[in-house]
Amino acid sequence: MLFEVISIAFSQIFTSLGMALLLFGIVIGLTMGIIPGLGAMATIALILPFTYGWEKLDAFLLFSAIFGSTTVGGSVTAILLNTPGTPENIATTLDGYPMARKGKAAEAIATAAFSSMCGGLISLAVFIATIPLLRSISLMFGPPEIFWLGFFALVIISAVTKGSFLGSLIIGCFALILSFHGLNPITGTPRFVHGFIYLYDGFQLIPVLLGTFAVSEMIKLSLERESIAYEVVKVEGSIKKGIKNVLKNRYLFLRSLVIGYIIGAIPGIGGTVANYLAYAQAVQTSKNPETFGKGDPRGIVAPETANNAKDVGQLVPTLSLGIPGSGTMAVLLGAFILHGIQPGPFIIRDNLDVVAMIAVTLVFAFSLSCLFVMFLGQYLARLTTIDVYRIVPIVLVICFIAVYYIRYEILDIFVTLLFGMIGYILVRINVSRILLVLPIIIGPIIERNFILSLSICRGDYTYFFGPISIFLILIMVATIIYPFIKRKYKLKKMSWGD
Amino acid sequence: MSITRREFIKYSIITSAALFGLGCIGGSEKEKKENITPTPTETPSEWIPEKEIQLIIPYKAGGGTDIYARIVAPYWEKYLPGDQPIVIINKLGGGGVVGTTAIYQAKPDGYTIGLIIPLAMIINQLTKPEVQYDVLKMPVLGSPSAYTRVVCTNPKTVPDIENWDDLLERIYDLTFATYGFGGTAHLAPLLTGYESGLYDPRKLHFVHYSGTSGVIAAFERKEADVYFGAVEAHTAYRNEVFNFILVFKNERHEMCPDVPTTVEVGIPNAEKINNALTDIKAFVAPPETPAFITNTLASSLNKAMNDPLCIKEAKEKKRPITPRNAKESVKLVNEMFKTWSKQDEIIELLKTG
Amino acid sequence: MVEFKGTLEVLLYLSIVIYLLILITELPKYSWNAAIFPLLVIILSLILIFLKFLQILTKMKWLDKVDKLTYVNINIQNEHAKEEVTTRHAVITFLFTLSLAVGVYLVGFFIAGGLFATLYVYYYSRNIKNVAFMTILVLTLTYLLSRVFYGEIWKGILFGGG
Repeated sequence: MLFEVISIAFSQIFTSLGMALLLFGIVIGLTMGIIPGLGAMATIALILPFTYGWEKLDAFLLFSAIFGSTTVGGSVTAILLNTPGTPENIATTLDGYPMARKGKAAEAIATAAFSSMCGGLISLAVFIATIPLLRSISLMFGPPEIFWLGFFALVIISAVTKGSFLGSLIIGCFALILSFHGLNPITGTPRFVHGFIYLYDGFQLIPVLLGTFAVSEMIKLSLERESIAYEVVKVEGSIKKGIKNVLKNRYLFLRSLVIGYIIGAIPGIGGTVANYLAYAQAVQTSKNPETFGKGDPRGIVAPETANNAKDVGQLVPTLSLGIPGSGTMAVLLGAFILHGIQPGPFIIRDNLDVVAMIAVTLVFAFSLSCLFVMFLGQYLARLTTIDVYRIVPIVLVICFIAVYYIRYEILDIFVTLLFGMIGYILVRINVSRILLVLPIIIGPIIERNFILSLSICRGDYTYFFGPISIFLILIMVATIIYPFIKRKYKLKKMSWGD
Repeated sequence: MSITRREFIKYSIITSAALFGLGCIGGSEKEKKENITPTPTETPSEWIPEKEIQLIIPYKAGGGTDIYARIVAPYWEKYLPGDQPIVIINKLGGGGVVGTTAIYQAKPDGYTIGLIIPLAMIINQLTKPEVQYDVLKMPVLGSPSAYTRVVCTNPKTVPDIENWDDLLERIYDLTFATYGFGGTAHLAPLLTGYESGLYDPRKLHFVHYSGTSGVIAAFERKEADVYFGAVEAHTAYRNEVFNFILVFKNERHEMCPDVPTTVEVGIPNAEKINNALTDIKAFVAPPETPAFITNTLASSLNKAMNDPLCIKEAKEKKRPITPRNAKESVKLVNEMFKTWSKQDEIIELLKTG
Repeated sequence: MVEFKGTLEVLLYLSIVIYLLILITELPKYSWNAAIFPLLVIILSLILIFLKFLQILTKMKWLDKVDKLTYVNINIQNEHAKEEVTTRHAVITFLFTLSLAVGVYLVGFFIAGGLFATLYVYYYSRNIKNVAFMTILVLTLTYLLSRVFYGEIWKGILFGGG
């Protein structure tokens, strides 16, 4: 049955319409991924109404092609402009941009592309093999497990912070508070809206993301540089080296793949943290962590592998439970409904052909988009030498237009502006901007699942400590104390050496 | 007295000019009269739109409400006089409040209409002071769908509950799942309790999940026992996930003819409860839209919703059409508002959360 | 310039404190379920800001140590801002960005985008060719995006938008 539907999917792609949709989807996906803030979520949301009335397999071919290309497109901007093209590329900026500044932009891009491609393809193989087990896996994660996972993600983010620790915690808490603005998901009552209906939906992800990274980056560029590269460096770096970086770090690659897939597979957590968690584990498991943040290719391998693995992993709860793992998946669910497909536990039973189409299209999307990016990387790298005054007006105008078109709400551009200004202030006071964004995504998830768990347990608090929850808590504690143990062990070793 | 040819010509020219002048002035007076806005007695019976009509959906593209609009719109265009398209605009925000407000504040010239969920918007109006619309002032053009509430139990956790009486016996021990605080799945058990007096809704134990999928997953994980779902949306899960035990309709529902109704089971005020819980979607226009415009829109909408091809397409997309004309829809909305505005305890609960 | 950084930090945290105090006054309106999480996080934030102010004002050693605490020492060069930014220059840049947003709101994307490109590029490059090129490019991009996306582009509140 599975082989049948897979071969149907292949035959659908290898038609003139199929190829056209695939290529169109990849180009759009790459372009939208490259433009800061416009990831798969926004792109699919914008294209969705146009596909009403299409054959469902054609529609999902297009969506999957877009979905499979955006994060690798986003890595290009993360590396060249220090602005993540999509939220999933946040961690890629940490080492990608320094590599670009050293003139190794092409190598960085090739590393990102190849990691993404391999991560995606291997995850797809795992996904296809585990399709029969999907539902049972998804049902294992209830509200308390999702709460612990969200809490874990916040702790990790604070743990890998740099600069002022107190400052980071303050901004993280402030961002959490901002996430509480709007209609409270638990009681439906508006919180902190100050009488404005506009704030009922709180601070939307895309305006916040675009503001914090793109707008603040443009402010920074305007104030400080003549071009993105401090010096006009010769564009160097080889694609071969980029590929070798992945092969050399295969254990890191595999670990990041597992992290990405599992994070994506857990319902409700939002795959945006996967790249950051993968980066954190790369740093923590490294023998020489001090090279991270200065252009270490491992700092690209980990998040980019986790990204595409997470993209595939997210399909697990979305398809089997009808619970989206992220904003992108929520939009994809809307696509299912629009095309008459009922999301939920029976989607694989009733629409296996669509599932197969998604999987097969992703194979092509991951591969082709990565090849495009790898070979065009040389040319894209030249973007770093363009004068700032050519980039800033374009990026700012595109940002504001994109923000407006998300929900036709012009006031969103002021949110973008506000976060842009705060983002720049954070750069000046040496606090990571990531702490302004990620709590806004995770905050509501943690709160909702905490209160939900309290509701369900009716006073029996052991509900919070099921076997999976305990496992998650142990990993969390281990992650926090590991660096201290490592340091103590190193010191002990040194004293023994004496 | 005789006049010379020259004088004749002179006087002719003067007279012609004078007459011409008078004619112009008189003509323009006449034109002015014809351009005066017609009095009510001269109102045209049919409106012919001259540009595209914007249909605002206060929810996201791909959502339930959006799909109904997209199914009906092409047929509506067909039956509307003139050749103008109906363009769908999704204006999300505030759980439908932003879009509804946009419809409410639009110019009442027929070129902006919308599709709203009256029950949800009535509740918002009653519980949120910031809301800037009044559902009662919006002319209703017709309704394409009505979701009927059905009491669903979890066969995995409470297989012994087979009917409403069984449920009533243990009602305070059960966990009621909803798809969100203040949603119809939450309101339905509250209203039933207050209106029928059969149980105290304040003692019910609710768990508010995120969306219907959250409820289904909860049922699968054996976390919830009861859910006040919708027949039209949840029949697909019947027996595997849900047991239907009671339907909120005055007569049996064609999709589940074996399930007894609230009236049959003898719930006090059953009809009032059924009407208040009928979850319709309604096409509306801004307040003070002239009657000749709304009449044209309503009659063409009614034809569209009753078009056999439209009904067929809706069925294929698993969104059955239950057409209600303008008159019936207005009556239902007014009744709904009347019932809900008297539910002080529920309103207080929703206000404070 | 250290002064600039220090003042900025204090101003930011002070603004946050003022906002948090406003939020605290709203908490009693909400039910327990709705208020508990925000209350906990607000209290935590205020404690942290107090500690931060203490560190800035008193330079206590143990606070300095806490502030430098990090599990991993990632020195991110690209995040380090150049020191030679004057307050005047920063304010001008902020005003440019603000004016774009306000302009878009008032007169729509085309007019505001075009004007912004003109003024911005002239301010930075003082070259008429660059100004013309960039203005045309921005206007073209705006036009293309307005055709690609569904629905009308924002015209500006003064021209009937919204």
